[in-house]
Amino acid sequence: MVDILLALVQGIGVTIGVTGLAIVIGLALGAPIAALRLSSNRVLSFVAGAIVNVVRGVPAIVWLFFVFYGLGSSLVRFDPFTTAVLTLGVFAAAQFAEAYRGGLLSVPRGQTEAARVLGFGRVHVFTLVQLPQALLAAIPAGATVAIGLLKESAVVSIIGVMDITGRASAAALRSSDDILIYSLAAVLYIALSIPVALLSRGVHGVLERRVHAR
Amino acid sequence: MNLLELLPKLLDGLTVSALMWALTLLIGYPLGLLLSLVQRTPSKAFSAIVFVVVELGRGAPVLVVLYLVYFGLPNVGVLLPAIPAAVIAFAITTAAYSSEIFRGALSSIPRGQLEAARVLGFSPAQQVVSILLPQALRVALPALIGFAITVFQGTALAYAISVPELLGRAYNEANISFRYVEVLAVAGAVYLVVSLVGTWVADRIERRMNKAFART
Repeated sequence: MVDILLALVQGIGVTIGVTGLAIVIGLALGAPIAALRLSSNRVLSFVAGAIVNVVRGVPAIVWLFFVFYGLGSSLVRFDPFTTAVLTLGVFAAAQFAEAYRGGLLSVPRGQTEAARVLGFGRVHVFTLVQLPQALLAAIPAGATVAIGLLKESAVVSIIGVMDITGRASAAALRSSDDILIYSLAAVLYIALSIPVALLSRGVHGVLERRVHAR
Repeated sequence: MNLLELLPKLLDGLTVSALMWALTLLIGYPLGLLLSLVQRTPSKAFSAIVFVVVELGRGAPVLVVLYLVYFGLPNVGVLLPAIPAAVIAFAITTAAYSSEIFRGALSSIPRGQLEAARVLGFSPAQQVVSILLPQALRVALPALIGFAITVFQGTALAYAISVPELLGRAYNEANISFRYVEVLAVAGAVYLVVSLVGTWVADRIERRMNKAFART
């Protein structure tokens, strides 16, 4: 059992790497997508909405195949790890965009109008009034997305990335303790999701104190 | 290969995906409802068991649960063909997730209604069947439809245990024709159409129900 655990633990770094980098890409790309979606320009908001729906309407594993085997066979060839990070990153962006949008919509219109009347410029209305409250409101949804990505990242093992699931499959080929191996893998994923939940609660608490102190 | 030759093959795969999807929902949702009802009983042992099942089903990746059922269960003498194994794995995760949907819907029904029913002489079973469920199921319906779309997308994971579903058929065809971009794009479009139609139906039902609720 110890040797199995040691084999699986080697995949933790890769799972965290794929998930973490995808989250970073998703948080960065999700913000402009959400902004476009909420813009008053109908064309821009339609395009942003279409991007979100198309990305989320196709399963992650199908995207992974499209990028790795489809684009990889003709246009650009990435190694499995890079493919996994980029694909999950775009997948994450669509989901974080929805979380940001929910957060921004939760700030009452009256507040932005009041701030404008009080002489705040557009930029200040956004950075001082809308953004802090929007981020606060978006954290629970964002944490759900992050934990979902952690679990979704298991599919990258299918294109050969040696994450926890990849290590588990390799270990299962060598032994006959499949039930033990995959149970341990499941427990590892659950254990990894706990710090994400705690972190989101911590950040939420800090932000909440700062937002309400103002 | 042209689209006319490709589509029938992909639709064969879609049939397998749809079959797994329907069976998963037929088993998973009632099981999820059962889990959420058990959680309401005062028995601590029962709710502890349910807690573990739900946390495992929601906390572990679906792919790992799938491997656990297909490759792991033979260790304890349960050997399943690929499609039943996939359905069982998907039903476990569906039950775990939907139990949270049902739990929320059940707790939205005011306690006073059940107290009133008890005073009027309803047995606990009657309270559940004729008071709790009719209202809670209506509350849960939009979320259940939304989650059903996620479940459909999840059926693509069955490719990993060689079920000839939509993704598996597409990948097979791509390997034969070497036209990976086109074939996988068409397969992706099929998934997209299913989820867009599903989302549209869910929106319509939710809107209609909101109207019905507003009237009463």
